[in-house]
Amino acid sequence: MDGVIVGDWEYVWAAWGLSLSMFGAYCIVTSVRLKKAQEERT
Amino acid sequence: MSSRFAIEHIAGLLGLGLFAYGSYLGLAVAPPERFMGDVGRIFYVHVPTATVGLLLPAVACLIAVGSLVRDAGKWDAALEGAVEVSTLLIAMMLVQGSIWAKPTWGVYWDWDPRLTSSAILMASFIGVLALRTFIEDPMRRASWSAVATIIAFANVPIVYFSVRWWRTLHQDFTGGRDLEDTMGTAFAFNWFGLALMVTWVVTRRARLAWLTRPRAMAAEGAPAASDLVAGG
Repeated sequence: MDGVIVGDWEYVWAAWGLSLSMFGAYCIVTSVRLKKAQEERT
Repeated sequence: MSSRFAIEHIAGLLGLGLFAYGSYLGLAVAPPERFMGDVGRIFYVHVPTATVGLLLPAVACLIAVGSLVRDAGKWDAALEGAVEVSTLLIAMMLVQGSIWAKPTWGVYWDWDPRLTSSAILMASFIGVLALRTFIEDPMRRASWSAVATIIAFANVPIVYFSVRWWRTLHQDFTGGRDLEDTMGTAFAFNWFGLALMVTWVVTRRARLAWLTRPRAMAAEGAPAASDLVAGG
């Protein structure tokens, strides 16, 4: 199997999907926490 | 809406737009990579994540120096944001790299110097975040976490140059001269897009740290600034 790439688009979608989901989830959680903190300050 | 608030969101939205277009180019327009085929498209998200993920710790290191030489306050809040998002980016980089490694190397993980030093970098930034939860005194927390960030950053040049110093499994630096035009454009759009989105979220996370800091100080029994003024 030397030199043969095993697999195709499933790895592409997994890499993009997993990593961007992590980033998106972090952005959402941070925004919700920030909004809550701002509301508590006012 | 304050102008700072508007600029922050304009930067974030611009970053999202650039990244969306770059992703479209990388996933749908650019030709398959000569040796890796479609699996090579992972690089359009992996390379921008890795470069921004190594640049942000450098920014965190500069903020840490600022926190040490200036009054901690907002510098410490900015440090918390930069360190936390750095940890996230390094984790994303490792996830993308591991998924790419399976079809190309045949394994998800190998103790290659680049991978090992990257894992140590992530662990050291998690350590900085953990340190912040252990220290109750805000001033001591600021100075200790600044020093810990500078120590953690020392690993970044090792991560970057590891492929040159120890020529093992991970490929060496790849120049952009051999790239087809669409490939280079996809990389550029995704890099600037991600950099802007990261700037947006670091700014927001730093503001969150700043807003929650006085409450934490109050919980620890430290006097609030207004009390100090009232007490003369």
